[in-house]
Formats: sequence, C-alpha cells, structure tokens
Amino acid sequence: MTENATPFMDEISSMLEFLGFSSVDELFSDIPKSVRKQSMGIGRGLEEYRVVQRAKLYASENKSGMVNFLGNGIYDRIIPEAVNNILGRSEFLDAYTPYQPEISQGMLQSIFEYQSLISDLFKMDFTNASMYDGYSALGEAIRMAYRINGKNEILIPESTYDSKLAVMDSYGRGLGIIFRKYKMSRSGKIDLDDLSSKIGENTSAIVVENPNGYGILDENVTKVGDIKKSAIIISYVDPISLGAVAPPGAYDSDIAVAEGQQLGIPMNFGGPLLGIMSFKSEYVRKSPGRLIGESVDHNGKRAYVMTLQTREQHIRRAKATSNICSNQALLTLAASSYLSILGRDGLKKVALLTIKHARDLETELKKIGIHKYYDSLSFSDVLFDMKNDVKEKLAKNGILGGTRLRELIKDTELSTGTFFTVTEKNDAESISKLVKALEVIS
Amino acid sequence: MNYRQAYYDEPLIKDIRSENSFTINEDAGNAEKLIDPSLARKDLKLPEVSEFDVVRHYTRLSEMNYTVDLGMYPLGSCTMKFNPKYADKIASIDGFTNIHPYQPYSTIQGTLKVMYEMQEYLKKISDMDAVTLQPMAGADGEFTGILIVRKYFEYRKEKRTEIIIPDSAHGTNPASATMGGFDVIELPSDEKGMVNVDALKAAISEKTAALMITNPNTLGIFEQNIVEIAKIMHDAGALLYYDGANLNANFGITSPGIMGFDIVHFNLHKSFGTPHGGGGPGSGPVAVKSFLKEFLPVPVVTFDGKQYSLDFSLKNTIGRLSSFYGSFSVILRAWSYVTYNGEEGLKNASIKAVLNSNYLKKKLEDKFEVPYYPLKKHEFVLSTEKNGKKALDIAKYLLDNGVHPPTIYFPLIVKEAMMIEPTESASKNDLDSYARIFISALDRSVEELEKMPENTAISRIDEVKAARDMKLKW
Repeated sequence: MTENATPFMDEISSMLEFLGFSSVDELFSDIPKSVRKQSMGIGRGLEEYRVVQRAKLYASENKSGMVNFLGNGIYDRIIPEAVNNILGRSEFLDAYTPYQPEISQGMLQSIFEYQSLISDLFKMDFTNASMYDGYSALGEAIRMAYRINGKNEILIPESTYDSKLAVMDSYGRGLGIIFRKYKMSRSGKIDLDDLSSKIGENTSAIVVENPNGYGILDENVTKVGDIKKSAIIISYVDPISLGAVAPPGAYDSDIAVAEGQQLGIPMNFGGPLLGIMSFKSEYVRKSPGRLIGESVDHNGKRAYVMTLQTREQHIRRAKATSNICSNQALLTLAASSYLSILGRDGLKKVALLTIKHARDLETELKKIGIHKYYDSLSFSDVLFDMKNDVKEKLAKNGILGGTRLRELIKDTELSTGTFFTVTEKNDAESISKLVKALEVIS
Repeated sequence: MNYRQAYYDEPLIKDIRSENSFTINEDAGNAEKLIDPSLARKDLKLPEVSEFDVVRHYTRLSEMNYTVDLGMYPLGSCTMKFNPKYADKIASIDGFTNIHPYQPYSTIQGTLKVMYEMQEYLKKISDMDAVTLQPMAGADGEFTGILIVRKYFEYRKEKRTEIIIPDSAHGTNPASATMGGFDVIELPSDEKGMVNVDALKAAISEKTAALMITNPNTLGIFEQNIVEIAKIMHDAGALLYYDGANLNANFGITSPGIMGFDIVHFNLHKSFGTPHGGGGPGSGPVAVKSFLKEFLPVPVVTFDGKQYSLDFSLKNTIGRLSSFYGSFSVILRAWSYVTYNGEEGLKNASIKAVLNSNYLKKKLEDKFEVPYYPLKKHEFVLSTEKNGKKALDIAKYLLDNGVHPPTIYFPLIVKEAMMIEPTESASKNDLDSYARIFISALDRSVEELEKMPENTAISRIDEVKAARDMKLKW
C-alpha cells in the first residue's frame, strides 16, 4: 500500500465503532459473494511527482513545436493567457452545475453573458449553454427541426465530411432521419438549382455551411432563404469568420450551430470542445440543452437562474428535448473571455488575417506549381490540387499539414484535393517554411 | 459557522467600458475587400474592454461561486470529490494541449499511449472487454450504449423496441433511450428500494431490448438481486446496461462485468476526480463485453507492440458520436488519477466514500426519515416530509451556513428527497459539522426558513419570472 493510499486509520476505526461495525467488510455485507472483485491488476499507485514525471515523459513522446497547417474543424489560434488564467480559477473549474443559484451567481452570470455574446456574434435571438461539440450540436439541430415540423429528410451539402455525417446520422437514427446531398457548383459553392430541385414535401431542414467543407466562403448561403419553401435553415458556421463575414442571423437561419474550439480553447487532440447552438426565439421550447435566464431575487437584486428546465431530462425524463446533462460550461467561459478580450476590432483582425494568410498561401504555392482547386475565396482551409500525399513527409520536416480531402470525404470526386490550413498565426515566415519543404518533397 | 459569500453588483461585461488592449501587429491589407459584398459583416457588437477589466470581471464573478475547494459539495449521484491539483498540472502540459487531431500517428505516440492505457485501466476496473473513449459526457455514453443495443438487435434481425428503466433511475436514462428510438417501460421499485424482480419478469417480453440500471441505485442501495436480474435479462435474449454514475461505490469491491452487465458507461468527471467546470466538460467512455466489441463507435486506440494508432475498421460499428476522439484532456486527468491512486488507492476511495455515507446517514437518521434498506453505499436519500419541512428550505438553510446542500427532489420516488453523497473527500470532522448544521435546521420555523438564504450573494430567486420573461440575453 502506498503512502498516499493509506486511509486515516484512527478516524476509520472511530467511525466504524459509531456504526457498530467491526471492520470495513461489514459496509459491503449486502454485496453477494459471487460478485465480489478480487483484484484489478492495475498495480500500485505512484507518488504525485512521479505521476507528473510520467505524464511529461509521455508528452515528450509527442512531436511538438511543429509549424501547423492542419485544420478542418480544429484550429491552432492565438489564445490570450488571461483566458487560461480565468478558466483555472477553482470557483469555476471545480464547481458543479449551478443547481443552487444563490451560491452560484458567478457561473450563472458568466453563462448568461456567453448566451448574449454568441447571440450578438451570430445575430440570432437565443443561444443555449451548451452542446458537446460542433458536430453533435448539428445532430441536435436536426432533431430540433424534426420536433418543429415532424419531417424526416435533411438536405446536406456534398462537401459534408464523412465524420460529420456520421455524427448527424447517430443523432437522427432514432427518428428515422434520411440525409440527401445537394451538389456544389464549379466554383465550390452551393448549386442553388440542384438544391432547389431537391427541396420537397418531406424536407425538414437544409444544412448550409459557411465556410463550407471545401473551405470556401459561400455567398450563396444568403440566397437559400429565397428557395427554401417551408424547410428550416440550419447554418453551420465558423465563429471566427463572423468577425468579418455576415452572421447566420443575417440570412434567415432558423438554427445556427458551430464548433467553438477556436474561441480560446486549446486543440487538445480534439476535445473537450464547445458546441454552439443559437436559434430563433419562437423555437425556444423545442430547443435542447441548458438555458440561463435573468430574474430578480426577493430583495429585487438582478439574479440569474437555470430556466425553462421543463424541457430537460431531469424533469421531463423520456419526453425531454434532449438527454444532455453535463455540457461544456467551462468552455463557454473560455469563449466569453476570449470574445471580451479580443472585442470587435480584435476578432475582425483575426478573421481578416486568416483570409489574408489564405490568399498569401495560395500566391506562394502557385509559384511552385501548386494550384488551388477552386477559384473562390477561402477562409482557413485552403484546398489545393496535389497528386501525392505529403503529410508524412512534411511531418518529418517539422511541418503539419496536407490532409487529403478523401480522408474527410471518402467518395469525393476531387481525389487529389489536399488541404493546408491557416490562421492568424501562419504568417509569411511559416508559409515560407512550408513552401521550402514542399519544394523539396513534392 | 459564520459565513458570508462575497457580493458585487457586477455589471454585465458589455457595460464595462475601457480600452481594448488586444494586439496583433500584422496588417491585414486588403483582405476585407476580398469578401463578396453580400457576405460582408455589416455591424458587430462585442464588448469594448481591456484585458485587466476582463480578468477583474470574471474574478469578481468567481467570488460569487461555490467550489469543492471551499468545502463539502455532497450532491447525490454527482460525486463531487476533490479534484487533484497534479491533474491540473498534467492537463496543461504543452506537449498534450497543442496536439491537432489530424496529426500523423508518428507525431502523437504519447497522446495515443495515454488513451490506450486509459482504455486498459477501464477494462480492468470494470471487468469488461473493450472500450471507447469517444462519448463526451455520461448521457452521451448512455446514448452510445443505446445505439449499440439498437445496432446489435438490427444485426441479429430481432425487432426489439422497449427499454426497461426503474422509476428511481437518473433522468438521462429514459431520455437517452428515447433519443435512440426506443419506448421506455418504467419499472417500480420494491419495498426495499430495489428493482422489483416480479415486476421485471412481468415487464419483459420479446420486445424487450435492455434493462438500464445503476448499481448501487440512486437510493444508494446495492441491488442484491443483480445476479438473478442479469440471468432474467439474458434468458430473455435482452441486454443489461450499467449507468456508471454511481461507480464510486464499487472500485475494487465489485464491478459491472462481474455482475453480468453487457454495456457500461463511466463518468470520468465523477468517479475519476476530474473537474465539473460548473456543468462540464465531462467524459463518458463506454465499455462492452467482447460480443459487442464490433459495435463500438470508431475509432478506438490500438497498439501493435510497436506503434499506437487509431482503428476505424470495426465491422458493425454504430458510427460516431463526436467530431473527433472524445474529451482528451479530461481523459488525461482521469489517467493521472488512476496512475496516482493505483489499485489500493481506488479501493480505499470507495471504502471511504461508503463509510462516509453510512456515517452521515446514521448521524441524521434519528432526526430524519431515511427510507428503504438501511445499509447504504456511496450515497443515501432522506426525506424531510415528516419533519414538516421542505427539502428546498433545508437546502437554503445549509447555504446560509456555508455548506453546499445535497441534490434535492431526486429520486422522484421519495417525497421531499435530499440525496446526499459525501464522497471520500470529507473527514470525520467535516461530516460531524455537516450533520450538526443539518440538524440545527429543525430548530428554525418554516417562516424563518422561507426567508433564507441571506448570507449568499443573493437571496431566493423569482424562478417563475425567469421562465415567464424569458430574458435569455442582454
């Protein structure tokens, strides 16, 4: 038995005595012998410093300090140190769901601010707090659309990644949801004629993406409202882009969802993330997840509390709008503090630098004979036409990048499509490193 | 205990005005002009505030929030144990945080090793055969399990449409079953607070797909007929699902695998000491017996003796639940917790958690009714009904005395329920003090209690107004 694992024997003895038990075994006398466990086989514990040491050793077995051109859902962006500092405060980190509002106003107000900040950023009425990640938020949005109109066909762009469709499909399975893909045009944007021809009586919702799965900023999303008939528009957007690009609320979105990782959350191998979901106010009672509302206390002071809980599983059980309980509360705080520190000008700058770097990358790669697939404006993920896989070779040269489109969409017709992704971090110096490495290996 | 929580009349962040201090020097050139005019952002409202004001704002808010670092936080079924600080340190190591999910395997061997070892830990703890770390919370684990049940019977070409769930179950159970397209059959508890075996037999039919239970159950009572229950389900060709929310009673004592469960979810943010973050993030891995391995979501982490990698090839996989591979940094903290504690530490945690629960129960049971079978596990449920007091009022009294109340009004089968889970992170002194405060609530009249709390940042909230006004943004 290690030191740290030794119970405080005097205390245990006196507690057992109080209970009238002669040993701790009596605490488990109700458990049938046939299901008692003998040993786990995971060995002794380590002292604290050795656990940290082992973790550092494992971390060192990852290759770090590489120049990063990976994206397609997770992005390597600048995170102000203050965000990590705020998230590290035990009052937020080590608190539970604010079931007792009088002693949990800090968390409640911060979540209310998150709902407000995202609603402003997305130009939507309301925002919940929160979904697990972008894809599961999309899955929940599809279920919400079904609750609104009872129809079961969802139209999605052909540029939808397989993993995203797989998550949507998991969420739709219990409702018998069917997915149909609509085409993208030769410029990599929504083919409005094709989409229009596919909207029918059973169409529940149209999923539009901006930027889309090819990384393209697509102004056709603003025209879907004209052809949607009675379908619901679910927009999947990049929250950083909204610093410079029209928000989903500006093009008649009924529900808007996003992956919020870029708002102050480290990549962490893809989790935990932040599923953002905003919607029109008329759908609030059909919406999943937690909502914080403003009220007053008995002395008339402004106060915040979990509200409309009759939609939630702990009250409604089998009839709840979702099973979600634990959510991404701490990550909503990351998003709030990130957006507050950057402000309007900061977010706009980050968005515009992303566009600039995408254009710089395009220009520089063109010089070495690597061309963009579509002649349309890219946001972060820039899709190039490259014959050979370069990801592994680049990694050996200290550069991450070169995800193949067919890794993301198995049956794509763009079989030579290859992504390099930029953020505000990928300045001229990092682009020139990539160019040099590609010149050698491709 | 004299207690007074901080209170600031703290404005909303949008109403604090100071000079934005965020700086990136590089010029964005003509980037804005590249955007199609129809897609340009016309107006954007975001706070205009300096970094120091942001930090001060959230620091002041934090002082109006209780934390497990201030004292007991005995919410039943929530397992608010101490969150170890070494795990904070480990979760912040750059070599883990700066890893992108699409990196080549050769560059992420350390990350995959942590995940692989966590899969192995969970198998050994639970006596199950295969694990997915992908689900992002307990309810997401349940949903994963339900989709496995569904796919399993589709594969066997059996039409089974019902999931049986006890009336004492967590609300997520019926919600998850419904999301997966099943009908929920509610099962009454017996006079001991356990699954009513006769009612179970009567509820089972050829339509039954699975029984979802937690053991110990939400009354903190061990389901003593678990072996018989497993046999009943399996004889009927149905599956047995384990809700792992209450696993903290079982480390090293028993396991879902030994008890006969086919599918298990874990709550790493409960039993494995990772922070709850004011409501999340969590992590809800799922383990299955070998005959269900091919149904797990993809990918799972594999090791061929030389290299760790991700395996996407499971034959009957249900697909995916998450954008990537689950809540890695939560998994990393849980890995730290198990590595630190080892076998003995985990078992001692369960022993102490169960001891603490029974100790506090005995301290309170002279004054409050504690219904059903007397020997409890990691939690217990008392009723304040016979005291002529509302559970809500007692909870507010506890707040005024600087301790966090238990879960109230759950499980639904106990009137004026208070569900108490002290966890192992409470000393005898803590429990004695908690019991003393708890009992002293009875000295107060209903009228006095209804005015509480007064020592918290704010007093009772008008919840009806919140629901009616629906002010969900500023």
